[in-house]
Amino acid sequence: MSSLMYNELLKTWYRNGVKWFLIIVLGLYLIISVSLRIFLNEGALPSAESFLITSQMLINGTFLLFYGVIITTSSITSEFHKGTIKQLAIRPISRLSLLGSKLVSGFLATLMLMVVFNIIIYLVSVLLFDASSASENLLVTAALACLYQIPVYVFYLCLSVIIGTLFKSTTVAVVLFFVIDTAGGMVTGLFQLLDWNASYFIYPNLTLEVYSDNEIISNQAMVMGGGEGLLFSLTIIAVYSLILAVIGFYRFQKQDIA
Amino acid sequence: MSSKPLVVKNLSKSFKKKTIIDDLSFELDKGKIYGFLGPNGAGKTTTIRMLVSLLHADKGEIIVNGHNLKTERSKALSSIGAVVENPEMYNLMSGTQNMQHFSRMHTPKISQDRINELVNFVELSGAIDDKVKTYSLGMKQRLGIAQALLHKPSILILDEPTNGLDPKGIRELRSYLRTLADDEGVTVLVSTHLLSEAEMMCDEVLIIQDGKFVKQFSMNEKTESEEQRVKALFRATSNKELIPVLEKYGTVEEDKKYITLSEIEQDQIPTIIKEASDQGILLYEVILKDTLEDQFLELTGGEKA
Ligand SMILES: Nc1ncnc2c1ncn2[C@@H]1O[C@H](COP(=O)(O)OP(=O)(O)OP(=O)(O)O)[C@@H](O)[C@H]1O
Ligand SMILES: [Mg+2]
Repeated sequence: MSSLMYNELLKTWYRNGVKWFLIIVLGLYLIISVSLRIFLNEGALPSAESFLITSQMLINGTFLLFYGVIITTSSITSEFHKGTIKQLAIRPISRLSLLGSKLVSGFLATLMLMVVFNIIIYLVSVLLFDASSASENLLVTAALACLYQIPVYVFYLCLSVIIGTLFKSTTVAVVLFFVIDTAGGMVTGLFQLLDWNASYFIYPNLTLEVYSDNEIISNQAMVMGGGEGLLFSLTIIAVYSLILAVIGFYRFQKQDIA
Repeated sequence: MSSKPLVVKNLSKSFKKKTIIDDLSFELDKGKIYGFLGPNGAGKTTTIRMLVSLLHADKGEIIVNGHNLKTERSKALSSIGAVVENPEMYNLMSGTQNMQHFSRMHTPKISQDRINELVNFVELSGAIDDKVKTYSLGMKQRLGIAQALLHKPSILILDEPTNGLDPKGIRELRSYLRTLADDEGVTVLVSTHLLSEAEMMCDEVLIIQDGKFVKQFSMNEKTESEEQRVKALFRATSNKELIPVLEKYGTVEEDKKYITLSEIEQDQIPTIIKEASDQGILLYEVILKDTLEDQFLELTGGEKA
């Protein structure tokens, strides 16, 4: 399994232009941060804690999530498009392991990027902005905020697997990603408007930060609403992820590869 | 359990109720090169896809070295190497990276030495560190063969491997396959829709048509008993006068240009020429054709040549 994952990570590196993603997103982030520091006057400068948590929301919650979806979906769809899936599926390796290695590698790649990005985010926040008045330890906060994000990645990457195997299209994955991300909030709102219980719907359960004791993290997330409790939300995420994955894996197992 | 490298029993496959492979059975022996022959759409690729587990058969069994592909998939697949249709590779990676990538999919571990050996075998050493997107089709075909051989399979399956190869490439392919079969006892199954190609490359030919088994025969058998049988086309100063001469040797057909004897012994040709000239009929042309070509076209329902 580890050699399969090595293969997947290697292909991801070449296929998804990881180098350029790192250079561009990190470059932009650094430029924006430094510009803020230079051009905003002292009074308008954000504190280190608010800069940290805003950066994390934006990068972990949007850029990395989105990129993780692309990495995982395209690791499936591109093999189908290029026809290389045949070369994989004729090896003495079960289809379950093949797809499994793609899902796990997509997750690992996203995690590795998360580590790199969040180290930079932390350093930029504490070095460029004022950390003296922080209400919590910022290193712990940064790490915790990442932890709350991980189950969300699991859900979206399982979604990627099912989209990759059912539709064989990265475009569909991207569109669906935006639909779920934006419509999710609207649907939840609608549920609440109609006085229905939205707790079993996936979307409100994806903002795990609301359950945090860490005020920096939970304050930022409060605006998004939230579900019934950490364990409840984690269970909902697990159930949704499992269902998506099972459908995706079943489909891949049964399908004729043409 | 059979000791044959590959046994196919009563294989059937339908797509949307249309039967594509219909109760197909055949067996392959060790160390021989088999031509898998059939016209376009006969079901060659579909059969090959089932042999390598890309398609699930509706019915029937595929036994590889005694292992049932359905119940012992990994065991069965570890002795098969294949290129199905085009040799698709990872274009952004180099030839070496592609080879290493595929080598990581096998246990026990495949050494770098084995990779180098195969790269030399298919004569790709010069370009192996270039990205595959810079390769010509012929180079990709060769890389395809090399990666299919990584795990020393006892069966090599190639789907129309001469596609896109120039005459030199085809000659080289033929010599690779010969070496594999003769020196390493690899059983080779090559699909093609050209009889001439199968004749040049293979020991035995397996013909299918509309997904059904038609005929399997050995090229050697043919060289012993059938080599002498040819079809002959004659063009003379006067075709009309030649007909009575030829009629003594077999059934005669006439068209605008040639008079055709559909089957005679090759040895009889000089006698015919002598007899004709004795009667003052001179021959411009005698064309000899393999009777196999006709057989193939007849078997597969094509037009007679
Ligand atoms: N996925 C599919 N769905 C429906 N029909 C298919 C599918 N794959 C193949 N067929 C049909 O099966 C028949 C056999 O196709 P196949 O590709 O096996 O032929 P072939 O012998 O390889 O032909 P060629 O010499 O052209 O490569 C064709 O009529 C084709 O249309
Ligand atoms: Mg074909």
